[in-house]
Amino acid sequence: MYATTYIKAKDLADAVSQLKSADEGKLLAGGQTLIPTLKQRLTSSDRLIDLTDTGLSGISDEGSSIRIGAMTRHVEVETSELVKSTIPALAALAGGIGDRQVRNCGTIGGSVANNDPSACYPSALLALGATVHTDKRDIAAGDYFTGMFETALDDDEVITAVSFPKPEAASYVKFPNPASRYAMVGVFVAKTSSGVAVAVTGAGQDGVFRHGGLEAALNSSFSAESVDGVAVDDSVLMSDMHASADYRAHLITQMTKRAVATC
Amino acid sequence: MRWISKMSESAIKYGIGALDRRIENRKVLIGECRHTDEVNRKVQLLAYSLHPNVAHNGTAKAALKIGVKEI
Amino acid sequence: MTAVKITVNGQAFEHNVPDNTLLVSFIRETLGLTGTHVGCDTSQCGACVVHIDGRSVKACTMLAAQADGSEITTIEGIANGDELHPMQKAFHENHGLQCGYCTPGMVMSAIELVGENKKLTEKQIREGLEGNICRCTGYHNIVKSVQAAAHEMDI
Repeated sequence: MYATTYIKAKDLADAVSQLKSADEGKLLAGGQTLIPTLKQRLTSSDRLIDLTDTGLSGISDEGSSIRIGAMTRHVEVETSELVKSTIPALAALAGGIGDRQVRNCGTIGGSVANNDPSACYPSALLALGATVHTDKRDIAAGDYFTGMFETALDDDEVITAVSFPKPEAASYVKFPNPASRYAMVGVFVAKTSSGVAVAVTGAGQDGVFRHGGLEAALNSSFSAESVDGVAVDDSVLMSDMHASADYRAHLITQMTKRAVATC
Repeated sequence: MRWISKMSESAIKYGIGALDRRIENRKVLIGECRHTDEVNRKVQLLAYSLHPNVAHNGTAKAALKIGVKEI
Repeated sequence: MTAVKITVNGQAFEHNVPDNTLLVSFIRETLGLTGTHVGCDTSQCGACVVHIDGRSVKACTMLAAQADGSEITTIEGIANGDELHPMQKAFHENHGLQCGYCTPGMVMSAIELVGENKKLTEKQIREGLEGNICRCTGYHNIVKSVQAAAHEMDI
């Protein structure tokens, strides 16, 4: 790891001012992506700003939605009685991220800020119509994810929480890469009062996306069979050593069917 | 590593192909096992073996350039 | 440099370390506790798993500075004098290791796993140890060891 300066931010305001005054400051949340990237010298930072003490952790019931603090660890979402009873698909998603040790450290804010094209959380935000709260504003999930590892966040903006509206039903199914447990394809299906939403992660060249064709089919008939005839365009999908775009297109259909069946 | 083998016993007891009961080295279980990386003497000779992954690809020459001595 | 105050296996330490020091380097090189291993560069193998304030963490994926003020337990700290921890004993008796390199991480992960649920199924054990890679055993006897320990710790 290149030399760096570590700072434990006292509160949110301190974190923001530290971030503003650094040349290449990076926020350190759970560190489960950032630290491996740093230690392999794939990135560097002159100032690592640890958010542990900024009080951004915790899960609360807000009536029609639940609010999860940015520093809430995956294990807390996985085991939260509130999440399990209101959005069980979200608890299950958190419980399927990485391995135990990753879930003991990794945070929702870190995952959402990084917007890895194969991360699980972005699909939940998009399908459930979540809101990303920052120190400056509220951003609708639909406007938040702008491309692979790209988000609508400003350079000095800090995510404080994510709010998830409670759906009528929801399910997340992923086909995990057996080595990394990242989604080769992950599909989050949510049924809300405004219809069915289908968000796909792990497959798109521009990161997470909603699939209009699958949503239209499921809105007319919510059954696994209704997905069968839907065309999935593989020209916008990733192709890499793990799976071809064509294979990913096939997985999108299959994961959607499984998600609908378990919804 | 030292194995405490009860091969002869079990072979007599259960015959050819019987599962051999072994008891593991205690040191490995309590974190006292030492691996080569953990030997760090002040006056210590280190030897590295460099292998090219392709024949005749010049790894040896490159190694000489960075100060590796040929033996 | 950052001053790191830490309790490891019940003993308090205070050291100044460069900010980019990984916790595993701190444990192995500064404190000399080499039972915690480094088996990869990519945070995948789990040989470095230790407990920080009771939860299992990969010590290679955390800075020593982040662990300031915490209580750490390593493989050296779980036996009670000469008496092995039930998990160590189970690995000892069930041939749960061969070369032993992954064992410290396996044991630490498994202790957390069994601490949460003593009626683990084989599937739960395999899933619970997803973050630990073993190149020798094929996991079969590791699973057996954890089952044996869970049974022992349940009584």
